[in-house]
Order: sequence, then C-alpha cells, then structure tokens
Amino acid sequence: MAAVMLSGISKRYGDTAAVLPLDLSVRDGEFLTLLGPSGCGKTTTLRMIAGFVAPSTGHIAVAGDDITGLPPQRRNMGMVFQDYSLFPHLTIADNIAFALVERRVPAAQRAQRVKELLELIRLPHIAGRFPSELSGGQQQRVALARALAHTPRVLLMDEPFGALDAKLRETMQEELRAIQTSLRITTIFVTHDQAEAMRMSDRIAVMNQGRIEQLDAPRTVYDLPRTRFVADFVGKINFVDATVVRRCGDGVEVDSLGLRFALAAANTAAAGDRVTLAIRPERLYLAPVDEVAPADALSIEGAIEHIAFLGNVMHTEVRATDGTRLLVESQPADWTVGARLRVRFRPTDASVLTEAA
Amino acid sequence: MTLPWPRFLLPPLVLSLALLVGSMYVFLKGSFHADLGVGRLGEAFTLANYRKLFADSFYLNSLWLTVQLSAVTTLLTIVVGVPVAYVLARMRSRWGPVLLAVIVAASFVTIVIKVLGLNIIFAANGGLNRLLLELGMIAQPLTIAGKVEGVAIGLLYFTLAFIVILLYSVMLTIPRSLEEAAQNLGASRWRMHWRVILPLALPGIIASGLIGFNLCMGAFTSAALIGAGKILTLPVLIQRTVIFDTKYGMGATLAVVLLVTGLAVNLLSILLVSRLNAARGMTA
Ligand SMILES: Nc1ncnc2c1ncn2[C@@H]1O[C@H](COP(=O)(O)OP(=O)(O)OP(=O)(O)O)[C@@H](O)[C@H]1O
Ligand SMILES: [Mg+2]
Repeated sequence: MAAVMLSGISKRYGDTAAVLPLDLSVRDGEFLTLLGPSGCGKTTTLRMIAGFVAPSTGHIAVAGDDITGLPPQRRNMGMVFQDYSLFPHLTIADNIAFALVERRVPAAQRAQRVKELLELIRLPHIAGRFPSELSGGQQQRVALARALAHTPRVLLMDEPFGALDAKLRETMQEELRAIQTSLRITTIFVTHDQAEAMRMSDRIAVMNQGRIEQLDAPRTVYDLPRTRFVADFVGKINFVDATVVRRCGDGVEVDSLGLRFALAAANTAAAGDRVTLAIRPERLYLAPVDEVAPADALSIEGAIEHIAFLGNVMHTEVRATDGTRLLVESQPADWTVGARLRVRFRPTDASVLTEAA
Repeated sequence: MTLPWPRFLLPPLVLSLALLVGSMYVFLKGSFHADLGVGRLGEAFTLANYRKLFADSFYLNSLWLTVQLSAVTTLLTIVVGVPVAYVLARMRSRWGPVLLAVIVAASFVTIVIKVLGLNIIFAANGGLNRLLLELGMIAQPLTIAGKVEGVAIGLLYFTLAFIVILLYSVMLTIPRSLEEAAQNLGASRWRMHWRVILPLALPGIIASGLIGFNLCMGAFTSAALIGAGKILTLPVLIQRTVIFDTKYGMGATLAVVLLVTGLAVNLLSILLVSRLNAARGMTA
C-alpha cells in the first residue's frame, strides 16, 4: 500500500492527445475515482499506472519510488479488468494463486492465502471450479481476489462493474468499498457512472478531454463544481448568467435573475466580469407568490412550463420573469402547468464556476 | 468463457473423410481382390493383399517412413508456425494484414512451383550453397534431391502457410487482456506464454497439427519430385503400384492402410483434446 504520484503524465497517439499533461497525487489508502465521459482518457491514465501504456511525458511514482520505466510485472499492482479476464484453463484456486506462483510462494502458504481470499469474497466453496462455471458477479469477485492475492501496493480497477445489472452492481459496490476500507489499500477506480463514483470514493477526479477538471471529495464535487463540465456531468444542474458587481471578502456580489446577492467564490472574478452560477435543482424551492420568504432566502417570480412526475420526486421547469429557465426538483405537489409562483433559493447553495461565462 | 475447441477438431476429421474415404471408395473394394496382372482383378474375395503387405518389410517400411516423415514435419511446422501466427495475430501495425495476405496467397501457390523454388535455393552452385561454402559452414553443397530431409523441407513448405493461417485464427481467440492480467500478476513475457498462451492455444495447435499431418500423409507431389524415386512414401508407392505395376488391388490395399492409419491418428488426437478440455471443465 502506498501513495501514487503522477507528475506531468501525458499520452499522445499520433496527432490525438489521449491524456494531456496532468498531475495527480493519490494518498496512501485512499479510494480515488477517475470519472468522466467516454474517451476522456480514464483508461489510458490507469493503463499508464499499470505499465501497459508508456507515457509520452512525465513520471509515475509509488511510495516515492519512480516506476515510470518498470514493466507491468515488476510494479506489484493488482488490476481488475472490465471483462474480468480470468484464465479459462485454470481453476478458481489456481486463478487466485497465479501471482503467488510467480512469486514462488510455497504451496502450503498459497493454499492458505487462497482460502483466506475466498472467504474475503464470501465464496468459500468454489475453489475447484472453472471460471466458465461462475456467474458474472462471482467472476467479478474472483477477479478482485486474484488482484489482491499478492498484497499489491495499489489496486487498479477499470469499470469493473460495467457488465453487471443495476442491483448486483450496487451490492458489489458496497462489498468492494467494505473490503477496500478493511484492507486500507490504495485504490484507483475508473468509471463513467457518477452515482458509482459518489457512492464509493474518498475523492473523485473528474476528467474531460484528457484533463482533470476537478479533484475533490464527492460532496464538494457535487455541491461546488468548479467548471460547467463538472457541474453538468455530475447530476442535473441549472446554469444562470450573472455579472460581478464587486468583490467582498472571500466572495463576490453578483447581479443575477434581477436580484443582487453575495456568495462565496473561489475564483478571481473581478467587478464587471460576466460569470456563470450553478445551482442544483433540489436546492430550489417552489412557493406560492404571496408566501413570505425566510430572511436568508431569495426568490424570483415565474410560471410553470412543464412538469415531470418521477415517482419519489417531481421535476418542474419554471420560466422566470427575466426569461431564465430553471429546473426545480421537489417532493410531488399539486402544481399545474401555467401556475404562477416563486422560486426560492439560498445564495450559499449557488456556486460560481471558475471559467468565464 | 468457453472457446469452441471441439469445433476446431471437426475440420481435420471432415478433411480426412473427404480426402481419403470419398476419393478412395472404389479402391476400398479393389483391395479385397487379387491382382491378375495388367490391371485385371480376381472375382473372389480375398485378404491376400493385406497378408502380403503386413508380411513384406518393404511395404511396412514405407508406411513407417510416411508416418514418421509426416509427424516430424508437422512438429517442425508447428514450431515454426506458432511464433509466426502469434506475432501476426498480435500485430497492431498496418503491415499485419499485408503479411497475412502474403501468407494466404502463398498457400494458393501449387507445390510444383514451390518445389521448383526449393530446387533453385538448394542448387549445388546456387547462392545459398556458395554462401555456406564460403563461410566454411559446410564442406559439400547441401542438396535436397533424393533425401529424406529434402522431402521434409518440401512438406514443410507445402503445409506451412495453411498451418499459419489456422494457428492465426487460434491465436485470435485468446484475448489480449489475459496476457495483461498475467503480466499484471507478475509473469514475465516468457512465463506469460508458458502459463497462459500455450495452454490456451494447445487444443487449437493440436487441431492445426492434425490438418498438417493429414496433408503430409497424403502429399504426393513434393515426395515424388524431391524424393526422385529414392524416398518411397506411401502415396508415392501407391502411384507406382498403380501406374507402373498396374496392380490395382495392391495399390488399393496400400491406400486403405494409409487411410486407416491417418484416421487412427486423428481419432487418437481428438480423444486427447477432449480429455484435455474435460480436465479444464470445458464441456464439448
Ligand atoms: N491505442 C490507441 N491508439 C490511438 N488512440 C487511442 C488508443 N487508446 C486510446 N486512444 C484514444 O485516446 C482517447 C482516450 O481513450 P481512453 O480509452 O483512455 O478513454 P476512456 O476515458 O477510458 O473512455 P471509455 O469510458 O470509453 O472507456 C480516446 O480518444 C481514444 O480514442
Ligand atoms: Mg475506458
């Protein structure tokens, strides 16, 4: 187990840049997820760490040792592949013991370790079976056990649950997280599923077009997205144009939706700049036009354009008086299309995106 | 993941049946009748031809030579073909398909042309021999005419392209990610080949080898052209018995023995592969 450092790592394939130079520091024992849309460079990054792809620039270090030039078999990492990649000609026990044989671990110790791991993945009775005799979820667990057998320094996983159905996926996510927490093994996990990333990660690196756009705890990524891309990729969100009136303390005072209010802003926007505010639909509230708002809330008037009932929640699209469209997520209520109402929110629930509007 | 290995074994079987059984049905009947000279066969049913064949060391030696030559050549072809097929199957460059096309094209070239090429390569005053002589690696020019080694080279040349194409498709069935998994778990390239690629390819290698073996067993042209009447494999002997001696009965008997020997080897190998697969929990 060890910390992983990527410094200035990039990968070019001819004219296309799969990964632009990026720095990433994964802490010892951390569960870090690379999250992003298809083709953003997640797999390439992971494969550079595993040693299957040689980086075009940069260095990779594990626990301080530079491993950039090491072949995969000498990196002491465990990888779980999307298609499991169990060896079809070997029994489950032999699959799990594969790395131990390479390390010349004596047979008795190997058997002991295989037994431990089969118990860890809660499949103690399948040692003698072949991969073709297991279900997808079982194969996935075996792949995890095989990757952990040699107590690797880092566990790498590339969309390991992509082929599983939703229910099983959730179970596997919980199991993996429990195992990872108990072993405290540094884990780098790749997915394009934001819910999966949120559920499991200590931190999420949101990638877009070969870049890491934001690296933060799931909560921060969700609540305070830094770029329009991150905000949009992770859940639903409203974008609202605003103009900076002045800077005040840690934040800015903005003019937006015909209102003037202050909010925190990490960026350096100055007076007069046009910026974009992002606010989650569930942070907006629908209220009758004449209801008195709490002191810390702002509100704007509008009319309902569309309602979608989704079971546990309701999505309402409101067109504000200044023309801005807002998506509101709320408990199902008896609103009707065309009704006039007020949309309320707290300034602290909005975030200022770092990029220019 | 189950690979359809048993299906790989069907082509050799079907090929043997088509090549041997189909075309030699007429001979089959003839083998049970005595030769009366000038191509006439006796009316009575008799096992005399078979008795003669198994009593005469001349025929038995020819059978043994044919089996030995085919087996050794097939082994050589596999040893040469497996690395070629592997590299072709894993090639990412755009020359991969070109090379494969060249090999496919080579398999279309008739063996007569190939033997001609071999004769030029191994000509006593040809480039190869002059080079080797000058380097002092040989004292006498290497020739292939009338030599068992020469016939083996001819047979190898004859079957190699087919075998490489077959092995290529076998290698394609092995996912690259299995190699990466092995390397990730600490296996060097060599160990990865030993523990993953070879065992997974083995049934396919055996099936390809069988096809090569069948091709060699029935190969007449290279044995006749290179052997120059000195290397008497069964196909050559059959041709001589039928054409020169006009002993259709004996020729047919030799053909039947060739057929049965070939089938026996095929069946044994299929049995071996099914055992192999059963041991791996792969059902047919
Ligand atoms: N071997 C390669 N040769 C050329 N281009 C490649 C190669 N591998 C990846 N790329 C390109 O690099 C980019 C990043 O690919 P990568 O596989 O890392 O994406 P990803 O984020 O894992 O996507 P996905 O979610 O679809 O798996 C893509 O545009 C891809 O086409
Ligand atoms: Mg990928």
